[in-house]
Amino acid sequence: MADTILEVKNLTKYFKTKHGMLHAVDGINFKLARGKTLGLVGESGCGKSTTGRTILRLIEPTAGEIIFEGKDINKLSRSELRHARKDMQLIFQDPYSSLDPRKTVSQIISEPIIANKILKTSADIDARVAELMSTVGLAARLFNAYPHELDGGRRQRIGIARALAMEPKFIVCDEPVSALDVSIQAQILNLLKELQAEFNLSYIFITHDLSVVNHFSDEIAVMYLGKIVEKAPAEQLFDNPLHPYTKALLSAIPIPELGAKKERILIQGEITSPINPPDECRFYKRCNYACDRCKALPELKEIAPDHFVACHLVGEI
Amino acid sequence: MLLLTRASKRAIRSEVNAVETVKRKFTAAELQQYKKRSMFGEVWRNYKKSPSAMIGLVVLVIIIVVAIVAQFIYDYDTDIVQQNIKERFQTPSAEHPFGTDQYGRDVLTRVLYGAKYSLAVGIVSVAISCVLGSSLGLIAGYYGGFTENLILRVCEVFAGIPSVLLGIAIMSAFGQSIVVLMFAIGLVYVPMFARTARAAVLPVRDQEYIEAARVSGVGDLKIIFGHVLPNAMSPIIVQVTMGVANGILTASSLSFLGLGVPVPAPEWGAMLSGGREFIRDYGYLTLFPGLAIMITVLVFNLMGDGLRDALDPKLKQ
Repeated sequence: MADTILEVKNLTKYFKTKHGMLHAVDGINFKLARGKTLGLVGESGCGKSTTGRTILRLIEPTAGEIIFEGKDINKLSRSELRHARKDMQLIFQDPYSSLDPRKTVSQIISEPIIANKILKTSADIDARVAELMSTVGLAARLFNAYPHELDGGRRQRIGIARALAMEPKFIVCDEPVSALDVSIQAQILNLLKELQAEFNLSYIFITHDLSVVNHFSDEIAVMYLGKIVEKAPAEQLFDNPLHPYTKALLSAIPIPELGAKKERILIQGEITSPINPPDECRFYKRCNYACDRCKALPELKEIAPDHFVACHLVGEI
Repeated sequence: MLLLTRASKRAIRSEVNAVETVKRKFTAAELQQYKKRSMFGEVWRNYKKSPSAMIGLVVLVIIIVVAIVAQFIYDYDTDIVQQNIKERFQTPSAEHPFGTDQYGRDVLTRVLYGAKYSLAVGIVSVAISCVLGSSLGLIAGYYGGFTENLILRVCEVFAGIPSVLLGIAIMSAFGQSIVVLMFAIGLVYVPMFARTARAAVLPVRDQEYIEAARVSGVGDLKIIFGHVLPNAMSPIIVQVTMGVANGILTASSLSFLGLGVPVPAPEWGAMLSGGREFIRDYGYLTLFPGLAIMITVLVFNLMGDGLRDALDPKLKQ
């Protein structure tokens, strides 16, 4: 990829718990091209959100490199980090808890502008806030509204406007639509798409909803228990899933057609505990194809161009 | 999203179009129309809506006015402290509406004149303990870990010493005066505020809007006082109103022990304890200063409740 905005190398985050090390993110690698979207998919607790937050260094990584525009985010001092964060922002999952209930819409959106001293006079700030509000499709009359007076979709627009305030180059979208109902989801996704085209934004789009990520991503990485198990361009992943876990996930997407029959691959058994997991394939205990070879941890290998899979049995199943 | 029927897709499109019309530049004049509802005006408008809070405010103003006027119409040496044995223990009458005490001094005059001591001690001591204690509690709650442990353990040590005993220690170390009294009482109640504030911070600390502020590049201090404090305010305000009451009562106990406001001064607590010996025969000696304390405390409670509600934008009609 010619123009890489973000490269993550061997990113690892372990949390200390009473029972041992919780492997939330376990040595993941990926690259993100400028203006593109990487979808990060996986079930609850697989480390998607931790990955997103670790990239922004809201959580300190245990190991690994996060190279954003040629600089290792991990090695920045506090003030350098503050500077770097102007270019990297986060959109939150829950538009109810991510907006301070005691601040008005304009106060929320102007916060990053004031904190980073981008604009000085209050007239300039107000004008910029109004501009941002119109960019994300919020009416000017909401300028002094409080978040609780608004519905989920509008609240999420506020969160997006806040993230855009610094004119970032890269945004981590942490399940930005999963707290919204379906019609609003479409609005917000369209908005994010438009903004991407307008400002040449790069997204990491975290979600557990495969149908959302299909429409949205250029490339998709499937996570399972802190590891990327499969990574491929979106279409290729949907047409030709290779990892048993990806296959099962895709088979779970409902088909919007009456009477359509589709074979469901059911995943059985219990998820391996992320606390001190054994050195076998993370999916070993639930995989329908598990065999002795799976007792060794598989590497993420390039099977086809840009299509990476971490499974010993690729091609055999 | 694959589930969308044609009808719901149409509905979404019309909604999206409706949003599109919002997307345009706002003129300055348009914005002016929605311009800043002032914070103070807002709070005041809400405060006015509560009858009990307004009663509290009006009565407090009356008490303050009386306290000030009493300074000018009564002479301390002749009206307040001069003994007049001939007229001792007169029950309430037209001439002495609150009766006279064991030295023949008019109780009404003394109660009115004494308002300044109790108000000053109550308000100043709470201000001291609130500012110190809340700051400590906010810092402890926000940072957690070692800082939290240190602050809380020190507070517990101080909270373990009975408040009157601690007051006595401070008073005897720094001498007997009303200023020292204020500081002594203020320090005594620091741990209470610290623990209240810290407990109030805990649920706020993990909210996503705190994380959002951090991503926006807002400094720790600004987060603590701009986001955490406003959202953790209610219990602190309740604590303030109770603190005023406690402050007045502790001042009274210290006065009773001869360590508060020096003796002939008509501090309410001192009057209360002076009249205690005669409570069987001349109950009014304790009744009127007691009522004065009670009304003052009640007034602060009413105002505190009103203020707490007025500061919460969610309770707005």
